[in-house]
Amino acid sequence: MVVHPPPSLGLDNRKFGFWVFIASEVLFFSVLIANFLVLSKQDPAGSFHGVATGRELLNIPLTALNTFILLTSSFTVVLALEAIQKGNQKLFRTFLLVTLAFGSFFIGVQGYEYFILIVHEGLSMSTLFGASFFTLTGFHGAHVVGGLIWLVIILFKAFGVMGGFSAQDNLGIEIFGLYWHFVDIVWLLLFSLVYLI
Amino acid sequence: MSSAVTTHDEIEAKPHKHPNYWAVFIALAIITAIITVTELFIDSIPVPKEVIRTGFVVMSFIKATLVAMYYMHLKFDSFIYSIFFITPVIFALFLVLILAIGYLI
Repeated sequence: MVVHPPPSLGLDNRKFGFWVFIASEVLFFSVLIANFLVLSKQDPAGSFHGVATGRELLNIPLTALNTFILLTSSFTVVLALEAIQKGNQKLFRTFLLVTLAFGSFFIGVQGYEYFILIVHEGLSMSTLFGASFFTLTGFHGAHVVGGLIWLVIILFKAFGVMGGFSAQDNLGIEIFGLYWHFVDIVWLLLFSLVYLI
Repeated sequence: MSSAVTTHDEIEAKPHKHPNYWAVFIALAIITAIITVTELFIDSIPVPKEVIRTGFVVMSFIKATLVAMYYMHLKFDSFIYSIFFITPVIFALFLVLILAIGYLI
């Protein structure tokens, strides 16, 4: 019988690998944020229907609500993880479904915001503000959509279609949680840097 | 598996403290509410807008830190994970600060 030695760091390879991925994502989004901060300032004042800057077109109360929704979805993910660690399958599935609902709501509101900005306000990718805004928030939105697809797959498993999770086997939920919380953190920073300052 | 050898599964399976997720969520919700209400009434607050907006960024960083520490369990997990998260964050802050200085000069 071959006995493998423990890994030198004493960490689970999957979780460690995912943290390395998150590190790369931090750099990816930092470049997009820097890009936005530089380019959005270079739009001439009054270029958007007489308003001073492109930022004045943004709907802050709606986005604040959306921020709260995403924040709450992060909360329900940790509650789902806590539930499965205690072996409470019913609560676990319920919190995952609530997370899916909140995440979908977030994307729906972002879609509505894009619709208003493009169709009613005439904000286009041909302006520096529009290009940097849609690139930054669009990439974040794509990450949320990716998370929702991942969550649907997890839900299939949680409902017993492809095995299942238990109090002993829940690393998949923890790693999904890391991704979802990271997407939440990015949005918290985007909300202040894009919408508020 | 021999009890003398600790495998990676056993290390990861070690129980660690669970934070009070409700308390963290309430703190995050309160900060979000403060930011939103302040932004809505920013014109009637007798404080320079630059100061208020700097406060928004600081509060957002506090929120992000709370999520990373408690929801992502960095406070309780191996410090190696924190190193992998904080190192690129330092690079990111450096990048943004350099750009900000470029605007101020």
